[in-house]
Amino acid sequence: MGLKQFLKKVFLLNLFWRKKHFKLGIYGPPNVGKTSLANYISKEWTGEEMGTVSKVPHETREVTLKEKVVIEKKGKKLEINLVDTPGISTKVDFEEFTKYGVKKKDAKKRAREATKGIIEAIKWLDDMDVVLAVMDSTKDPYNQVNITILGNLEARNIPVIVVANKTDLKSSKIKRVRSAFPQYKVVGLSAKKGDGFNKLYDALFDASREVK
Amino acid sequence: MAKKLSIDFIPIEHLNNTTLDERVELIIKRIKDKKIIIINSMFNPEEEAVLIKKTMENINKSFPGIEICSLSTIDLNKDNRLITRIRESIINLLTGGKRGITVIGPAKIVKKIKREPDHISLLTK
Repeated sequence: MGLKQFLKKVFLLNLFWRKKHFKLGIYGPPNVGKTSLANYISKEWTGEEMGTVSKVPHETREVTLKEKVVIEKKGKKLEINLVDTPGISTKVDFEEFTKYGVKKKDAKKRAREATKGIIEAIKWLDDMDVVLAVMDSTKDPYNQVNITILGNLEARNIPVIVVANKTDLKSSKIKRVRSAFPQYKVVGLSAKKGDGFNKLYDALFDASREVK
Repeated sequence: MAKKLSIDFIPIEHLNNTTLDERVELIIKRIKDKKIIIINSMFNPEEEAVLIKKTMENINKSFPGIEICSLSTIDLNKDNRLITRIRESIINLLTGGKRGITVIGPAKIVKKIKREPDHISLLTK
């Protein structure tokens, strides 16, 4: 624990101190809605989106950065550099892309780029101040990729907010996400419909007090 | 003709004297040989991240990646008492690993490895 962290704990400075500028990473497996989430936040506060979304896995294959996204709430401001990352997975099979109608040559290129993107996303973990760990709330959240991401963030002492996305779908189960990761703050939202973002922004302001 | 399925059990004690890179390379080599690996220890997050990075560097047409699952013998989410944490830390220090089990298989053969509360299920293609 650094001196600043120690003093913050001893003197309860967490109640008053918060970092107003930080780097916010968006992490998760492919197709959980990371770019939809990044787009919504970016569009709401800067008027511009960050990337394209697709049903084909690994649409985001490069780390994308949006600087100076200023979030305002109840007269308070947070300036974040928003980092959208490629979906992390343990396998990339080009044949999977062809099932979505992608031509074989393009599928192979996509697979090559996706593997590089995953390596890049893992490398960027060290640079993050706060991370949104995005999960698909319609699926079992207790998978190895989610556990690996959360474990690496915990090892680096990086504050995490778990985002249970796709709450607009009937099969969404936020309770399942909460019971899988009871030690984390879990925010349910729909990046597609724009529901639940106020709670996410509240959680970001809370997390800004934990930034090193 | 039915495909052969090969499973290697690697005691963690055999990996304790290797570096992280050596350990990961050994695992990937065996996985590329179409073997399913069982290790009587959990991987820590750093090891998992390095394993994913190395897997990505090795991906090609015949090797689309891995399926992996680790299960702890004790769920610290449910039993978070100080005494349990201390006991686990001592055991981990003595055994050189984290108590649990890790199953890794080639994605070409293994469709899914699912974590259940008290066991791991492996489904082949």
